Amino acid sequence: MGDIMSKNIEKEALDNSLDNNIALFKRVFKDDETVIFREFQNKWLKAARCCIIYVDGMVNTEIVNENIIQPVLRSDLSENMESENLLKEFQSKIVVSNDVKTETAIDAIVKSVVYGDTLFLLDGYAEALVISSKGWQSRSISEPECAKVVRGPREGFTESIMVNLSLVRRKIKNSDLKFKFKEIGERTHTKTCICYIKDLASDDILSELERRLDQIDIDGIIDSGYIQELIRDAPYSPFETVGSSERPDIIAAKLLEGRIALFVDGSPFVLSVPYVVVENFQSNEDYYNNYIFGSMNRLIRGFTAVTAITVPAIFLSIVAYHQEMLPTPLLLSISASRQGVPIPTAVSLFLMLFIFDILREVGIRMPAPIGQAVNIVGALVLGQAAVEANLVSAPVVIVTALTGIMTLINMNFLSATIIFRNFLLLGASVLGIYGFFMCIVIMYLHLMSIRSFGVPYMMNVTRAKNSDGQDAWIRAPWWTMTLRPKIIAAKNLVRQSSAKSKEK
Amino acid sequence: MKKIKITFLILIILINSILFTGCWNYREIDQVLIVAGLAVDKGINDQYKFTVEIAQISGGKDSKTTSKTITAEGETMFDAARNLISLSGKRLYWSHAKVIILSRKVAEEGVEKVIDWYTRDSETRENVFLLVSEEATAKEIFDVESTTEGIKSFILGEMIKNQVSLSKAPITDILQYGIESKTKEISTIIPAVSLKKMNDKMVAQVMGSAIIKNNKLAGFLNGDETKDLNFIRNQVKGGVLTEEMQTDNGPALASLEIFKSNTKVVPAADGNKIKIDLNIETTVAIDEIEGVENLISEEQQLKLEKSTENTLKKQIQELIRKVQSEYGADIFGFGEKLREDKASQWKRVSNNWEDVFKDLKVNVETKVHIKNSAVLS
Amino acid sequence: MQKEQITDKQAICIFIPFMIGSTLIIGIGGEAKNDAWVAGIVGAIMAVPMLLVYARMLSLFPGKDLFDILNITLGKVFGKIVAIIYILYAFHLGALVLRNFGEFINTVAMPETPMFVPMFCMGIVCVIAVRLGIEVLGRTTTYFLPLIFFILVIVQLLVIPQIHLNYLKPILENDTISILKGGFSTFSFPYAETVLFIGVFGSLKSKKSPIKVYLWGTLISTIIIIVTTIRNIAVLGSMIDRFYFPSYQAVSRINIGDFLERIEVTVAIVFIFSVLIKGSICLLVACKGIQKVFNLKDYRSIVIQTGLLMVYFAYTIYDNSMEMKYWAFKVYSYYAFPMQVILPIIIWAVAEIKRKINSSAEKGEAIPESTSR
Repeated sequence: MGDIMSKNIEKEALDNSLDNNIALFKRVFKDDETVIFREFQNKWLKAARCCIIYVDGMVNTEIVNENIIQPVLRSDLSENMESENLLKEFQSKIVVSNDVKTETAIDAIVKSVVYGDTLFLLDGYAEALVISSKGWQSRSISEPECAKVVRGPREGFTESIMVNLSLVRRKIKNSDLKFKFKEIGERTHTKTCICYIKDLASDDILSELERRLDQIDIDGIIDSGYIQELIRDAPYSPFETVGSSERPDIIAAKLLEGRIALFVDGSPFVLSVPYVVVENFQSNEDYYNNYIFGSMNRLIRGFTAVTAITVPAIFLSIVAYHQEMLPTPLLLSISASRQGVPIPTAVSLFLMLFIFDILREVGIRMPAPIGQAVNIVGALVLGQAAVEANLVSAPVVIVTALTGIMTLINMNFLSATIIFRNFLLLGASVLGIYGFFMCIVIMYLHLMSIRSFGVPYMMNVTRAKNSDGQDAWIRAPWWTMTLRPKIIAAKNLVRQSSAKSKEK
Repeated sequence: MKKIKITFLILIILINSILFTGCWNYREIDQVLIVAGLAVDKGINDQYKFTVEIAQISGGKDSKTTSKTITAEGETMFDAARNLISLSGKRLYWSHAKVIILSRKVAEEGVEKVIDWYTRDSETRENVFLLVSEEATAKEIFDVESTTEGIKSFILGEMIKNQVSLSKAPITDILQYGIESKTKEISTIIPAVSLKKMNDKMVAQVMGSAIIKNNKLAGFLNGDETKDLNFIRNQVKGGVLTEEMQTDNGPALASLEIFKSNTKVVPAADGNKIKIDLNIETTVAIDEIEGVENLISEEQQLKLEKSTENTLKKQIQELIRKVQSEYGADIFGFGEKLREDKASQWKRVSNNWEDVFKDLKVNVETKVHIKNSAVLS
Repeated sequence: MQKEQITDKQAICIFIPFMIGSTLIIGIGGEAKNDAWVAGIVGAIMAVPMLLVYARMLSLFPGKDLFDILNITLGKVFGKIVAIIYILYAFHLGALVLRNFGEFINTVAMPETPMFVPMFCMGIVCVIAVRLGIEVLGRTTTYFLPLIFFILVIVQLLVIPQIHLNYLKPILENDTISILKGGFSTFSFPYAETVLFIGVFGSLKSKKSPIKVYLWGTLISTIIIIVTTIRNIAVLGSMIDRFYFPSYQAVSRINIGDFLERIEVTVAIVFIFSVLIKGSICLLVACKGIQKVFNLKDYRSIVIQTGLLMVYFAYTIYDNSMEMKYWAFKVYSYYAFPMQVILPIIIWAVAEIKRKINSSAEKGEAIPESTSR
């Protein structure tokens, strides 16, 4: 691993003198005043001069005080100690800790120290003990703000990777659930963890994921979003090809479908691959509620995703190109509403949709109480005033509002919706409904060409066959979902044993 | 990176060249005048005189739609249509037009000439209704008061459409006219529109039909004759039959509402002679009985059916005789039927179908069936 | 790169829009007037033997496309000459299809828009589709075909009130010659145009039965074409041969309760999609041919050039729509006859003979692989 610190310290090594070692670490941690050096000595055995080094704030001081310093100070070390290998004796007999390692490599030691471990140096030894003492303040497990459910578990991932892993582990109590750690980021040394169920996840996808993770060469990872973008397929596409979720129940369900999860330390968003388009419309609540209700909600989500993209373009192409399609009374009323409006419909649609996006962004950025006020001013006052001042026609405002609301239902789809909505609008403003449909075809060609880790992105969307379509547009009752999704869980398709006969 | 730059450059050029050279067919609704109807007259120098009724929309909160007429002249139909722009300023939008009213003179000169442009142009639509004005000009129809608020052409369109429950005028749109007039020697009919005095005001009325023979106006039929004609053409979907019944207390009138009517035209060749069998079956309901007489009893009902059948038969026979002798125009579609069913016979007579039609023997059979007497017994 | 593959179902799904593509726009059997549907059936029946020949060629050389087959059967030099003929044919056909579409938009919907614009846009969509490859095209088609069927069926139902079946009568009024002529023109457009699929079906996944694909595709599209033709006649009656685009005109008659009317634009969606498929297949075959003839690595490198040339060619190919109708119904059948009938039969015969010789010489071993590529 190309370590940034190694340039200065790789030549250095621990030697037998404690003072030299302390001086060495003082050099390494120069100008870093959070690093604490504590020297102490056992009163019975004078040879046992020790020093512990740790980073203030990263360690649990209770562990350091009671489990490291106290045993060393209080026990009579002159008895029952073989003085040949005192350090070994310390490790096995004195230090009260669940994880103690002997370490000689400086860079590994430094890495552990900055990650919250305590370094134990003993005079006369060119080795050091690394004692696990991690303990820092972290957020408690709470329901994620952006993925609340009415029905379903209320816990969400936190910023601590170990906590997150435990949340999933608690759901899947099985030794086949595998965790593989990997450090990414030359400076941040961010811990990531690939998690999968061994006899479900496809080996191809797993090795592909590992290959892509190995290829990442970046100085730091702050959020899983970095990795999401670095490992995704079709990097220029606005459609997400790597999933992310804040909820352990969703990740556990995905693991059970044979997908692979990627935990990143410091991010409550856990990634999952492969990710196909229908997952955008799947909500965890679909599975907890009655299947009819769940299917209905999912259909609504799919429908609104389609309409949010197409409605402005269809509206524009009808009122600007194919007025003959309008029933006569409607034509007259739209015409009446446009009297005296100077801005062309196409331009006003672009503008209004843009303003809506501004309002949406403002709503997110503003503190919640002000956000409300902004929304009211923006939506009500602006819209109403714009119509009354004859800046835009009322139908345009209606279409904008409708589109805006529908856009917000599928937040996963936001970028794709906005980009393709404008793309279709452009097509419609050039060639009417023909241009619109050509753009639709281009969009679908694009969608069909995307693959996520080798799995077609549009998988199962067009299938009406029993086992393929049961979890796409609708959510079939649980007793019929006897098989896992094809391709993804090709290793072991059977979810419910009653399907065993069917599989053959 | 360079590749992306070039791609973007090309994209920008493309988008700009498409957007800024003008979106050719892009037209805002408020930039066009919505044509509701069209009246064609003959002006000076034998030019076409075009009068269009335009839906005029006032914007604002209480938007109102009123109508306005513009008149222009031109050598041809299209010429006249475009000349309108010099008077209106805006382009005319034809897709929502509902009626074309032809003046008597224009219709006499030839209908085909007038409608060719209308069928050929892509913006105009083939489901516009044709009307012939019985008045001196076609323009008059737009000038009078209308019975209800709104745009006269739309009301005329409604009047024609609702003929399904009156059957006193045919329903002919341009495409249908085109199809029917394409077969040689076959005549067709167009609804007629006239003005009528009502409360000291003149109002338009769609009633009766104009006979178009060889694309030229040959004459008019009144409303009742048109109803009989519709019986023959199997286009009766509703309407009223009135029948006078002789009872002990003198004559009593009964109104029968037509619910269903089916006409079978069977051409038969008897050697060289062609004859037509006409079978009309009508289902009606008694909707009104004038007088105290009970016409509901079974016996009376049979009587009513019989006498209605006879009246209908008589009227139809009269109509056929009248058309045969006065106009010699096959507006009944007998020739078409012959062509469809007995192609060989048709080939033989098609060249002098007019003469054959004049002495065509038509055998009329009518059958009236009363299904109920509304809510009263 | 991994070889692209399509399933039988996808192949049928591409096949159907290819067949109904421009056929739906300009109609079939113009000469036969109200017997056009009979002409359609006659054309379909005439086409079946040829389709069997095409399918047989494909199954003789599994996994090989038209140009490989030409190479194997006719040898390097002669094979390349014939390949060039087919490239030109595919190129020309693609241009004709684009032009049909351009004429359609220009005449019916957007008279003021220069015809080049819709054609160019369509050309770009075709180029994108071909660059993404047959596999993506296949999957996209399976997605859109149900939509197309849905629109066709709905329109068919809505138009019922406007149908006058008596316009179909008298059946077989026109003389046999004109029906046969109409049938022949239907045979060459669209049925025998499927000769181009030999250039595509090399990527069929199951190498067993291109026959199945050909016959099912033909059956379904024949039904669509015949039903559409009958509908057009029953709605437009004697006016049918006066319209350049009868389907569009027939659908424009729909009027349900004054609210659902003038919906012919939705049918234009069917046109756009099927024209896209047909144009893409033509472009794909042309590009693949060029790739094989000039031994290029990947056909994708020449798609944009060929596609743009196709658009320009389409732009200059006719002077006006009168010429288009004349060409489509009067000239095209004779022009396409060599590519559709004569050459395939020759190639097939040569292939069968070669196979006989080979199998007797090498005891049933298949055509040697080394001759290809």
